[in-house]
Amino acid sequence: MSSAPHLIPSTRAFRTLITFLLGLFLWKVCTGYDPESWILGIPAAALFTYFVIKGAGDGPRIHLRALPGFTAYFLLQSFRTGMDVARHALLTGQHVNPGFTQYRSRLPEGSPRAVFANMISLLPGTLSWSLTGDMHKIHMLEGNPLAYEELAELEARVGRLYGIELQEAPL
Amino acid sequence: MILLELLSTVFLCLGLFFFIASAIGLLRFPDTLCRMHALAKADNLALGCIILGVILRQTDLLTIAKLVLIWGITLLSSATSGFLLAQRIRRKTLHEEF
Repeated sequence: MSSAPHLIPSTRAFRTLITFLLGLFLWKVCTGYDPESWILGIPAAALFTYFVIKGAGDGPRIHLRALPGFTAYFLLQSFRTGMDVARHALLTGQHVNPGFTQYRSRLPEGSPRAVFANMISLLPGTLSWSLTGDMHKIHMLEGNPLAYEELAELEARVGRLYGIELQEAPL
Repeated sequence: MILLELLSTVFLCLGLFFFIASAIGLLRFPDTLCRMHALAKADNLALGCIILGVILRQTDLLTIAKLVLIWGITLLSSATSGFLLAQRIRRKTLHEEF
């Protein structure tokens, strides 16, 4: 497991610039083609940059290179999950057999662990129920013997999104 | 163009199917947490399919970006609000038990 090193000034400047450009892009998407809107748009993008950079701190950050692969995985899992819920809703209905399971996360505290907690709800049949320290308690729609392997796979992918390679086996 | 419209119709129908499945799940699943599975998962996929179907009928890039942004924000808020709701149910259950 690795932690993010302290940022050198040029990296920080590049990150600030990219965040500012993203803010401008979001403003453009929301307001359309009106050029007068930039009077408010540029200060809004600057404020957006300030809060994003300040809020993120020096913890692990999402690596843009890993984003396309993670998005593809997310879309595929979303489809599987939607099909799974539809199958249960239409066929099983009230006869589902819900339960709980626990999973100890190997991800560092902060943003990666929070993203993992949110993404657990993306997998078929699992819903994040609570997060205490590194322990995730998960509600399951029905017993799934592959749930543990799927959680470990999702955790590894969230780790790679943040540039963290998980070495040790899940507990 | 006909192919695009056909594909768009397929995605819109898929979206409709997942919305209906989600609503049926909401009615049929036995407890609140199970119902949240229907809301947090099938609804997101349904919205994604509807948005993809609408995008295929769009030519304006800015509108396409806006539609993708709507889906992204919905996904983020759905995952977070689902987690917060689960925590609320957890606290309520613990309070009732002790």
